[in-house]
Amino acid sequence: MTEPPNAPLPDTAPPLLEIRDLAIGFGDGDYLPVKGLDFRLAKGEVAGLVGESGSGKSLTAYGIMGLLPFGARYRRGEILFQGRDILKLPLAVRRALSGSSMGMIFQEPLTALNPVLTVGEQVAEIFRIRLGQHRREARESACALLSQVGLPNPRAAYASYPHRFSGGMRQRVVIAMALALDPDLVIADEPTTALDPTIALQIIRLLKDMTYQRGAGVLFITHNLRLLSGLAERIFVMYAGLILEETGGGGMAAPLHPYTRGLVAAHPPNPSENSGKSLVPIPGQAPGPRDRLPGCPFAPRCPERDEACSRSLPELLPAPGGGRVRCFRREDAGA
Amino acid sequence: MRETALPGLAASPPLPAAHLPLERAGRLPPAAALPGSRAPASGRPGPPAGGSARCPAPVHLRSAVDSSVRRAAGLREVSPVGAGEGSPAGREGSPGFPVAASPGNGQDSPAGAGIVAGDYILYARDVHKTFRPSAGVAGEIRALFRGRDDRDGVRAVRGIDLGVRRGESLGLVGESGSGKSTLGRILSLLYPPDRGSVLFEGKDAAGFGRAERSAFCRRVQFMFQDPASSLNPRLTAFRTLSEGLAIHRLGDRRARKARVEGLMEEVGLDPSLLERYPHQFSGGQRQRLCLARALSLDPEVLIADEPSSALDVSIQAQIVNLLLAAKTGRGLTLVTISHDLALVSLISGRIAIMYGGLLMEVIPREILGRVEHHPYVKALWASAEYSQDTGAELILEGEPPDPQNPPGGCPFHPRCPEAAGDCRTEAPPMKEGPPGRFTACHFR
Ligand SMILES: Nc1ncnc2c1ncn2[C@@H]1O[C@H](COP(=O)(O)OP(=O)(O)OP(=O)(O)O)[C@@H](O)[C@H]1O
Ligand code: SF4
Ligand code: SF4
Ligand SMILES: [Mg+2]
Repeated sequence: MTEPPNAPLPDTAPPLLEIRDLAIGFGDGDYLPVKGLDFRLAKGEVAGLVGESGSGKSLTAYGIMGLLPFGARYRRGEILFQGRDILKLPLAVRRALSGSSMGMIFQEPLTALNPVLTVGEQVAEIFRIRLGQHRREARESACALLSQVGLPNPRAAYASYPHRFSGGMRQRVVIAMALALDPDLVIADEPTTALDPTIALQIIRLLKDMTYQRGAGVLFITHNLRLLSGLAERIFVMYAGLILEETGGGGMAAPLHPYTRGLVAAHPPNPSENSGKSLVPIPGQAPGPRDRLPGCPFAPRCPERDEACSRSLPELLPAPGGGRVRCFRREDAGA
Repeated sequence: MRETALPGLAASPPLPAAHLPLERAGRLPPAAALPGSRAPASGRPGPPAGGSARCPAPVHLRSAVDSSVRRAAGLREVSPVGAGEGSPAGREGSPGFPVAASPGNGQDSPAGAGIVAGDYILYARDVHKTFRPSAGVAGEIRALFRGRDDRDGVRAVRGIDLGVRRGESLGLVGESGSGKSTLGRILSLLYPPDRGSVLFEGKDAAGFGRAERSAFCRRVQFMFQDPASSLNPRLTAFRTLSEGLAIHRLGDRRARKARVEGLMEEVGLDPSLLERYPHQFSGGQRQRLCLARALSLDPEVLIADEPSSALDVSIQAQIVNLLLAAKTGRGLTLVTISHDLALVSLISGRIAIMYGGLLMEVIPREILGRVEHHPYVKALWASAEYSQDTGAELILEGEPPDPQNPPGGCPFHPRCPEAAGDCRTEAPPMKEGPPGRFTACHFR
């Protein structure tokens, strides 16, 4: 296997993906699940986007892919992909770009698969339509890919319908489809949440290997912080439509933001270290997409808040260690 | 905590403080003569009764049973085929406990030989459960959507012996389809086993009369996996929480109100929310409501199926801590069913791990991770131990067994890195060692 191509980029090269102040809303102006995101992903980098349900993770993913659900609109901001703001591209150009340079993997693989086509036809279709391959050629490419993602009998799998497969096998097929055209960016939205733990590990390893080989950047979306610690080189912690903290993968050992610290304490620790421990929940619940808090969105639940916190929104500012933190008290946090 | 002793009700016994089991609060006769038994004795109709050994779940709960096994929709239960076959006649009608190895798929009792009768409040003795397919086109279509063809029947539980000790916190872990929920439902009499029996305080539940069954259903509560679908959307929180009290004819309206308010406080919900409907609550609040409902009849045993897996981590921790508080505060016996070994090992004193409808290991928490584990448990342990350096390295190949067509011999053999000749043909028996730890592997 080749070295993961994530050496620091020269300053001149644009990052693979750069999101600037992205806001996505529904209907009236009040309903704003994604409130202003800023982050970058380098070429070949594996980054994690972690957040609880309703924090806006999936909407962000769909926003980048250009697959916003009905009624959702971009409200603000830029999505720079390889230096170009894709929101300014004509729709057709944009579709073509995301179709060939981005791949997406979903939580429930069945939603990504067509139940009335065989698995093989669906993969071959990509090669036929996008690369203009002939039937037979496309079929061979599809079988080769199915075998790369670890389907034990690719020819039999080619002719099977998705419902015949277990969840893990379906997810392998979806990974094959997402990687068929060698995309530069792969977005995986909770790809293992619906799977059993031992199968989830298989899928993560597969995803890791396949994207390393291709040098693709990965945005791995999950609510499970523990999962990311062994996987991502960079982690973005999202809450109420905003990034609250950005750290290197190891940063989860010593998170700086009070929310991230709370999240770490609420996760069941490794079984080898948990005897006599208890979970420390975060009190209360996250604000909804309609809630307008003038200050820090975490303030109602934050054990460290003071009056200043509810007055204005703290900025996402660089913190020592190369990360960024959105908290007025990051100095106290040892940052 | 609110005092909810009920004022002068001749017919119904007073309710004690919400956090104390009825008996220990000293205001109630011992279990056998509890309210459930009252109804038939006084000639009034009791709560609705289900099949022979079934627990009469409140009506809305029955739909919950169905919806939470949507995945398995289309299968119905069959009348216990060959019930009794395989259970030695000598045991029939005995008050007792399994004292020797049971024949369950060659597995010896993980409760061990020579156990003392009073130790186990609930005991599953060599239980089996197969779900048969429904016939016809509808069945075909469902098979299509479910992603497999179940026409041979799904062998969810294939011979399990497991005891639940009074007052313990037992964790039941397994991957999806391993049969853990089915076992939990058998233990709570929501499903009759096809074979084998469930003993409650040493008594075979199959022989329960209506009164005993009703008392059982009050004393053993099951909390369903999915809070959204196990709550009746048309009932307010108040009706949801007082329904059980009404079914069991406990207290008058005023007393019930006090009790329900006490329950709301116990689970951290504001009693002012009592007139709300389920959709007006968040996921975490709905799970609190489910917990309050399960506690409303002051049970002694609570069987919680994936109590927190539908929730966010920060909320999951709230629910888990509430469960633990209820356990210690009320002296509950807690059975937690989950796929998450990290979570279960945090809250359980003893952990039972299932695979392919059978038990692989039963182990006290103190020695978890300190013994030579069953090969499957090793892999499960590795998957729960995320760390910076190892990442996801110890990875099991292959897929879990097909419950319709489980492999012969050891159910884990197709994926087991240590499998050898015998494993394919012979099911390993349950063996004890070190004390308190039982495991089913030829090489342990
Ligand atoms: N009511 C039912 N009718 C038919 N089949 C069922 C029923 N309940 C469960 N099964 C099947 O029995 C097997 C074991 O199911 P069970 O629900 O006990 O698994 P589980 O370990 O709890 O899984 P999960 O974590 O996904 O809920 C599965 O194959 C399931 O489809
Ligand atoms: S800004 Fe204030 S309320 Fe927000 S996380 Fe920091 S300390 Fe807590
Ligand atoms: S009995 Fe054999 S196949 Fe089963 S777990 Fe032990 S070594 Fe593995
Ligand atoms: Mg289950």
